[in-house]
Amino acid sequence: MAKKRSAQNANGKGSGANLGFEAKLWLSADKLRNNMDAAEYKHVVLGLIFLKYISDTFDEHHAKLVAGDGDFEGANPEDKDEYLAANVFWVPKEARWAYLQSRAKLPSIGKDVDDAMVAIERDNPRLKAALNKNYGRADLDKHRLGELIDLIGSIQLIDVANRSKDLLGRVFEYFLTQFASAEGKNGGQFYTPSCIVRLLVEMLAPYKGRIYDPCCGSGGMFVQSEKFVEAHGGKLGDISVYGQESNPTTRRLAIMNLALRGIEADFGIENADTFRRDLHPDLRADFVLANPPFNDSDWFRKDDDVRWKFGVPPKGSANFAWVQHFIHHLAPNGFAGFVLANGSMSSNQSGEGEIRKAIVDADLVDCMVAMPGQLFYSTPIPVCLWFLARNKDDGKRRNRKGETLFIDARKLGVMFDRVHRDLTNDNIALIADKYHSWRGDKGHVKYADVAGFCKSTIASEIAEHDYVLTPGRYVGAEAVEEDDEPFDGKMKRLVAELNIQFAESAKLEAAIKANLEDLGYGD
Amino acid sequence: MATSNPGFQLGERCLVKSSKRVFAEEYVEVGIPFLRSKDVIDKALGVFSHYDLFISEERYRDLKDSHGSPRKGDVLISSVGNRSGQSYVVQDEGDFYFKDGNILWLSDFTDLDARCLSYWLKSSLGQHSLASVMIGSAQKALTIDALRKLRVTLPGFSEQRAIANILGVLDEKIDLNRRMNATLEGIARAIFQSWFVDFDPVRAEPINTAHEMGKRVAESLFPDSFENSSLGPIPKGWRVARVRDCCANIGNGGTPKRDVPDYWIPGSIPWLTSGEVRQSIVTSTEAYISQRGLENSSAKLWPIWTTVVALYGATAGQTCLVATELCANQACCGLIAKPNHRFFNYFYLSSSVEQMERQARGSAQQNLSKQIVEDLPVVIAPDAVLSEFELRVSPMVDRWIANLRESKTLEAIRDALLPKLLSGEIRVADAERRLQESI
Repeated sequence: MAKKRSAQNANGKGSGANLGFEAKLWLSADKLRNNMDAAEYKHVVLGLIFLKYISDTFDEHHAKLVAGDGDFEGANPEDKDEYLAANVFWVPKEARWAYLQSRAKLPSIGKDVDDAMVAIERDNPRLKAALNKNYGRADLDKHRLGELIDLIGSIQLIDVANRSKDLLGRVFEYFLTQFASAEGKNGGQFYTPSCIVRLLVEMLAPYKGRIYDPCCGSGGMFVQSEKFVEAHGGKLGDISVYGQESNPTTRRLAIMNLALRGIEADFGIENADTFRRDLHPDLRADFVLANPPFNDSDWFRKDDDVRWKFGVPPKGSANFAWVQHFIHHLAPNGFAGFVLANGSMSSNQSGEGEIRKAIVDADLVDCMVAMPGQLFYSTPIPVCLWFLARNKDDGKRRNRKGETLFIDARKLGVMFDRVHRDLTNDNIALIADKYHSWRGDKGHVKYADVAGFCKSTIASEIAEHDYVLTPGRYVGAEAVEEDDEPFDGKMKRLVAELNIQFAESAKLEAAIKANLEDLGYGD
Repeated sequence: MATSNPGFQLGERCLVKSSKRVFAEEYVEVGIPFLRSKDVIDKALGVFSHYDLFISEERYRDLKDSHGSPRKGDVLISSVGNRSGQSYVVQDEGDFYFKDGNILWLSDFTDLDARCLSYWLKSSLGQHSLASVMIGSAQKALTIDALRKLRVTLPGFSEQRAIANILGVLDEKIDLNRRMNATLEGIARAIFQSWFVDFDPVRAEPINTAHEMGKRVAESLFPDSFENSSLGPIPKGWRVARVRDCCANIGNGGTPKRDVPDYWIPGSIPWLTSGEVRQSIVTSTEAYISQRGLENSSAKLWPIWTTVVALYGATAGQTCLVATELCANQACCGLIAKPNHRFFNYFYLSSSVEQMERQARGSAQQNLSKQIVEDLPVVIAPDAVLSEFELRVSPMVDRWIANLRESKTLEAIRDALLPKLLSGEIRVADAERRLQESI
């Protein structure tokens, strides 16, 4: 019986929130993009979605205050403090969605939106400098802007009113993905594919504590961590979030992205380059999650930096500068999980080999995962995941001193279009479960090596391989599927086939000869 | 005698149509195969390997009941892209359906032999005729209407059948050779696996070994117990070594300077590129270099029975055995076998692709190196076992090579006959009569 599953569902399974609704909305919004660059349009659209979101949350609370039931008896719906108390952004009259939508057809709509953004920032210091206030500029077609406002305004109509918050979060995420895809090469700067983020989060399992991403892009790591906490019965606020981002517009995306989900985050006072100016110098994080730029050759290096405990990273690649930055910020029992280009596992250039050796000798490398290629929008290069543990004997898990787990996941994943691959939920669970059972986390089965997929090694084995951390070297050959056909039987079958082929060959030879003779080409 | 043949419009002699649209959402993981243009082209060229897409049985039944589906003897033609116009005669291959707009479907032939039509479409005359009705400059395409109006010049029906039979038998033999080679390779590989990987003859109770050869070999050549080694238990008296210990010499190829014409012309020495390492056994190469080119480059002449491993590019890790003296480019690593290791080396390396790939380095592209290849660990049997293996496998490899050479000859005959037969320059009257008699 044929198994029924449509291709679209199979994709949806991998790519997270992916309903037809978001896709349709995207198509409409993209139509209005007209000639504008995706990179620029991104800020226009995402800013409006955010505005719609805070206006909706405000309205919801406003309605409660007006009704005045229970706790809200006698409350003043226009009192800012009522909103502050409920952790809801106060939205001044001129910034409320209904007001803006009523003016969507006017040529002054650009300026109206800018005024709304200014007013929101003025009344909500948390959003200071986070919002796009560039809607009034001449080259933004006001007619299309009005249509876009109508389009985003329709989101609430589609869903039940009280779920629109959730929906807007999903729309925001979907649009981020789509913009990453539309921007192509540059998209990778603000967006890490969701399957990689989910895998990092599932493996690190950040239930509680401080989470830090020093190159946080639009904040995907934090959003996913929060989802993880909620999925595992925790609550908002069990984790606290610290980020830093050097690109000012990307930083805005991160602030909006987290505010949209009610996650409080400390992104430092402004955008800054992590190597020039560390905005959280004293932070010791329980979890570092990051996807730093690959093989960045244009980075600022201070030679006597306190972070270079394992060796000064080469000017030509920031890979091991990031790794040492992560280690520097780990709490005594902290874990780090991050994405790097494959070269980081084996390069010996400009002292990288020595740095890697020093990190291995310090017994920090907990697990290495080789990933399949084509997971990124920006580049087809295969990447790997590093997992570092500051203390491999923290009392909560198995004592893993001197041990490292290698996982070769290169064969996993499904192509969701010609050039992009995605990991399925099953793939992610398979990899994460291996790590958890190896670590000896509660509730996981006992670990066992799987030839060709994962291998638990001891430090001396890594030394034997010259400190190359490529999982393929350790996991060995995949167990060949037990040939259920015994040698004798197989030979009998093949020989029988051969005899038939010999006989057929003789017949065909005769036929060819006869044909050629007929044509006058006999011997 | 070639006469001008006014021909006919294809639409007069058969139905030309496409399929009913199937949407991407309707694909399922298991079900009835669903062909795209690429699949038809691969089938037409005889390089088809597997189906990627499927639709549900229910959906297929609906389509078949309402619109029909291709049957044995129908013709499918790729109709989009640069490889438009490739035709494939449907074999007895079970249910399948195909993508509309990508593939056109010819059926219900009158006075038209589908196989002969397909040969005509492959001929330069047919290709020229197809090109003249295609639309689109960047993206070529064939429409149903254009194909209906395609002017086909073919002789009468019984002549068509005779032509199709003459060419068809040649193609059948070529296909048979391919299948026979797969069988021969399968047998040789099974023996290799049994002796050198599974060590069956050591394990087997000689008395229970049904196979005569296995029994004799097991009794005389194989030890009856194992010993421990760094690679796990191995037959007593065998040893663990590295691939370099199986070779008289190992080296990479080279490319003569492109800008010195002397190095390439007159080309007399076959020069293998890593792309050609896809074949299991290489009997000839596309490119040749001159004696001067060989002398003035790092390319070296490798003897027959050298095993070649492709080091980088799309074919990295692929392995072939060379059945002729040749040289190769620098992406090829040649392993010149020690005596008794000719076939052992080839079967060992070609079954070690994954093991080599795991050692591959590089961030963007995974490259192998001569070092990785020669360092591969290997369990080496005593000479007596190796020479018994050579002795047994040698005739199979010889037949395999003979088949490859024969197929090349058959292809050459087919391609020479095709235009002459279709144009009537060579008469098929006798062949027609023979065909009549045999029915």
